[in-house]
Amino acid sequence: MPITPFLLAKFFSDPKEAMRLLRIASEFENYSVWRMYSALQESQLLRQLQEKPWWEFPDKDLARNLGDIFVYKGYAAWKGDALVFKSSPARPTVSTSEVADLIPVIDKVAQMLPRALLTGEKPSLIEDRAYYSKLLGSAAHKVLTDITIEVTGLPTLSESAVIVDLLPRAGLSTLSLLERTRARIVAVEPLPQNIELIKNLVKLVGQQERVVIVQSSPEAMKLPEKVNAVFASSVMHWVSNPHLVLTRVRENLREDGFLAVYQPCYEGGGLILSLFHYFFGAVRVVPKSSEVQELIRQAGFKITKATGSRGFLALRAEPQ
Amino acid sequence: MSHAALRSKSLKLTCTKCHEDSVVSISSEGMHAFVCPFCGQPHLILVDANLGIRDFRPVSSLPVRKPFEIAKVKVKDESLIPVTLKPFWEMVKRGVLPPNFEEGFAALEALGLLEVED
Repeated sequence: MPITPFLLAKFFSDPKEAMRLLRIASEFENYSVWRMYSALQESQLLRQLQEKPWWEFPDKDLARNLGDIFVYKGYAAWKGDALVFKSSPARPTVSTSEVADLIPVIDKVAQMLPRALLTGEKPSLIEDRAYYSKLLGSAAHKVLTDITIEVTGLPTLSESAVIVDLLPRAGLSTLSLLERTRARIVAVEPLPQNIELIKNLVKLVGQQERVVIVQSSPEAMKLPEKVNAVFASSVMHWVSNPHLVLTRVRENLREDGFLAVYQPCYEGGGLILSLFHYFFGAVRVVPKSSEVQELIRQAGFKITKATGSRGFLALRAEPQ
Repeated sequence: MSHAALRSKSLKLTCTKCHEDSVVSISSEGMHAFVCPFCGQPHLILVDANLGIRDFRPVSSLPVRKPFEIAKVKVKDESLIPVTLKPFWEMVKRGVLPPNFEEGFAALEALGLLEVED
């Protein structure tokens, strides 16, 4: 993980935390790549990746994403549209609790990857609900969600303010907003099984009076009153029309409101997160950081803060 | 078979709804489900390492396949518990049922993580 402006700033404000974040990112990348490489080696698919161009696989996006991961980590290079492997990853050690927490998901992806690559089949969201919720409710995901809440200024909103939690899915963002802000939360979520889960989680922490759940797709969001902020945690690759979603966000925001975004991006460690999310229900691989920022500008926002590391973007944007 | 597995203890449980007594046999610590054979009221029982009852409460529903019996309820794979439910599950493992604990079990059940031992 390269030193980026975000990490550099963190080193000055909290060096211990910066080192911890670096270690989490590095261990996550190394363990994931080693597991995926091993699974492909065992199923003798490495040769296919070297012989066939990525677009000849049944799921082109998956094959391309996988290839880009090996290239990013330096184990392969693109030769035209096929891969050339240069070396193999060694078994890494995992010492951080955040990565240890994600190991079941990483192992599951590695186990299912060969079949997905050969057939284009991905796990069903319903059948693999525990893994889906684990991926979107992992300790590592919480670290990045909490960082975004802090850097975008959501905790400064008052108790009377309203934050929309856009597409909370497994409810991690809802609980993080309850924990780190004082505002009321409107969770906008389309899937009934996710709504039930969120209701239970909110009641479990005894905060039901602060949360309203609206069953709606983000594309169709229409709230009775305009809100102070919208938090979009890892949303752009989970919706079919990100531009329409951002337009709806703009329509439902007060003029002095703002949009807070946490988004994995198609670079660095974000390449691996991209593959995992794509595996467990995202409609496409994650966008590049520049694409996210362009989408947000096109929807009528001015980006007032953008920070992050390679593969992770935390951003605040205001209507203009 | 371990020594612990060979132990069992007979306990008298009084239904919180109809107040009828039932004698049940418990052989392991942890969380157990009990459905009153007289009125059908489900209960949750937390059993400590000495097979003593730590907590006994009525609940609205439980994932019990075997009604009118005592059945051990456990999480299939603890490593799959999301971070949002971990504090709750740690409390249950320590023998504490937090307020709104039924929602915690409902969430675990919805994720397919709760199971009842045969």
